[in-house]
Amino acid sequence: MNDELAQNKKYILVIEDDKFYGNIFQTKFTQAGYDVFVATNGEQGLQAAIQREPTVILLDLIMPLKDGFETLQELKANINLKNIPIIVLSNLGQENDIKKAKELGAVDYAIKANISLQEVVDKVSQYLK
Amino acid sequence: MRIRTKLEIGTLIVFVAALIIGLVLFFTSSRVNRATEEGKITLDIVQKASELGTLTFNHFNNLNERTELEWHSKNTMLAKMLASEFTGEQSQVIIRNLRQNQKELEPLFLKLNKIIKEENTTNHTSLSVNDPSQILVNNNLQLKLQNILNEAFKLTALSQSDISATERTASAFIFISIAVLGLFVTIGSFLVRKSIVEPIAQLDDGTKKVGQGNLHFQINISAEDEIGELAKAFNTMTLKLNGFYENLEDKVRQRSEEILEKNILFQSLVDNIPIGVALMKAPKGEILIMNQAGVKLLGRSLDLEDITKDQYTQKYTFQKEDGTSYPNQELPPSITLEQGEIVTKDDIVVCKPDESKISLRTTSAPVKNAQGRLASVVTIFEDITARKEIEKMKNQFLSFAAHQLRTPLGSIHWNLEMLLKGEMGKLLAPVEERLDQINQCNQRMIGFVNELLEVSLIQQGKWVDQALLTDIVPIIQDAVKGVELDTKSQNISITIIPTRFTIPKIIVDPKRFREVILNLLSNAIKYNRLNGKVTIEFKLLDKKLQIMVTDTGMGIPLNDQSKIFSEFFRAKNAILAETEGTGVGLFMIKSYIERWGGKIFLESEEGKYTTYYLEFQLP
Repeated sequence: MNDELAQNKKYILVIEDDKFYGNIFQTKFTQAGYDVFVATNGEQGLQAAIQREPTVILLDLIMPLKDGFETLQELKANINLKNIPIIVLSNLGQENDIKKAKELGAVDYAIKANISLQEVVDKVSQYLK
Repeated sequence: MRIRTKLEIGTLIVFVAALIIGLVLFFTSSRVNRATEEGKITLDIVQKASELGTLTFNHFNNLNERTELEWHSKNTMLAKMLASEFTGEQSQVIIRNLRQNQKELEPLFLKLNKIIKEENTTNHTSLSVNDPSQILVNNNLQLKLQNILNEAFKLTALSQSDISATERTASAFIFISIAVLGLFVTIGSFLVRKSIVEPIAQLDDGTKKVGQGNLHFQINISAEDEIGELAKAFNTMTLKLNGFYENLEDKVRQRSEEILEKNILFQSLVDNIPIGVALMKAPKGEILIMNQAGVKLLGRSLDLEDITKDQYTQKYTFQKEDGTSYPNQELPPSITLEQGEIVTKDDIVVCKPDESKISLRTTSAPVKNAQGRLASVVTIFEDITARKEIEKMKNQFLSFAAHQLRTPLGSIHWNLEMLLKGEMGKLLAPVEERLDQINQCNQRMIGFVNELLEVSLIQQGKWVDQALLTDIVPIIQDAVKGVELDTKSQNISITIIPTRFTIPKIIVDPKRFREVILNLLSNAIKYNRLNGKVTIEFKLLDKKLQIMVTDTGMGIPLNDQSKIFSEFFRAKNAILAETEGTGVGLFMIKSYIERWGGKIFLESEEGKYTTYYLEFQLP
């Protein structure tokens, strides 16, 4: 990866195990002119974040190896990464899930099936300015 | 003989007796009087005789004319006295002697008087003892006087003894009369006692005995009077009573047997039905009786002593499904004991003594006494552990499935969104139209899955509610605006009826309350008629706010009304009219409202209207 380019371009880290969502995020945000990396589990996502600090992170909750809540906790525990805005995008929609995610430091929470892609883009854009 | 006749005869006898005694006493007293009278006369005679003697002596000493006149007058009086009628034979003999003497007295006195007067003319002396003729006359006169006096004394003595005798006779008569009267009275009272008092006492005794329950008792009175008749009537009555009583006893015995038989049947029914039945005593809730199934369900042996001793809440441990203890006052029997209403709950877990747990569906109903007061509470409870287990699995599956379904649906949604926006290149019009159709179907599917998820969450109680004191007026106004578009096609008007009072704030979750109103309005529009109306009204009840949402639509069939708030249920006419709809809206509404401590119920007539009543406690 070109370091210079990487530093200039806004970088979105997507941590999402569902390949169809991953594909959509990849397509949409690349098209919008951002750097995108899709990690398929929490562990991979953490490593990726450590390797290159993203501008914003999109995080799924139900994932193999390390789930979203654990990942969120670890990201927030990392002194270098704790200020990166994290938006939780999940299909879990219970109030206590939302509450837990926000308590752990997520800036936003959305249920994928109940939100349009445009709304996701709008949410992400807020943190890319 | 009649008592009246007896009394009349008795009175007559006493009257006659009294009359006879009266007459006897009267005659006795007149005899005493006469004897006394005779006695007086004899005394007078004695006095007069002695006076005559004195006068004679005086006269012959003085030859006084006045004494001579006095002597004649006294002698005349004596003659008159001697003329009195004396009753006794002896008295009459004496009187005859006295008269004889008195008759001879007069000539003797005159003779002596003449002799003395003749002598006086010669000697001028008074009485002389020397003249032999004079002495003879004088002696005779003296003798006669003496005789009279003696006879008078004799008469007096006789009279005295006569008086005494008469008095004695009178006393004897009086004594006998009193004795006779006493005898009569004794006989009379004896007869009264025999013929009236004793039968009455017998009657009294009889009534007491019958009163004490001895219906075989018969009074033994054979008299032909009123008491006899009364006794006969009494005996007849007792016989009849006895007959009735024996008949009654038979009937009671028969009924008791029937009741016992029914009781046995009932007992076997109660004991053999596979649900627990218990009766608790108001107001505290001691268990009066529990059937075998109940004992088995609750895991206690059929030791009534043990069961009934305490209130049921002290006897058993009840929990909620999440393992926390169930507040006693929220258990159905407690609510019924408190409010007298029928209560059903199926979220109670009972912990048996062996520490196993079962879920119960419990219904309590009030049992009222004749005065309408709560006497006891009947509670039935059945084991729904298996059902609860299945429900739990269903809910887990539902939330799992919903989550798993949402994932592909969401990605389909986003892919379609990109395509439809032309981000992948411009689309041909027919292609765009097909893709739009797919998108709409996908959205419906997402909506349906969301509802499924919501229902399962509600059923598992896994939903968080943010109820707070809320001004519902703007929420309702906003909801009305929100459905404005939907009213257009059928030209339906929605009216919020103004109130005279300020609508108070209530405790609800504002977001969900909006959903409640939206859902009700959506139904009211969807199932309304052309040019139909929807009204929203408010009413203040006792410490409650009531909201009424009424439409002029197809209504809900009576048979479906009780099920309308169940999940996935839709009324028959609604399914025919509108194929879309999942039947979870009203279930969710009810769950929300009940979570806020409110109540929802409806009133509807098919083809005319439906009114939903929402009631909220005022804070």
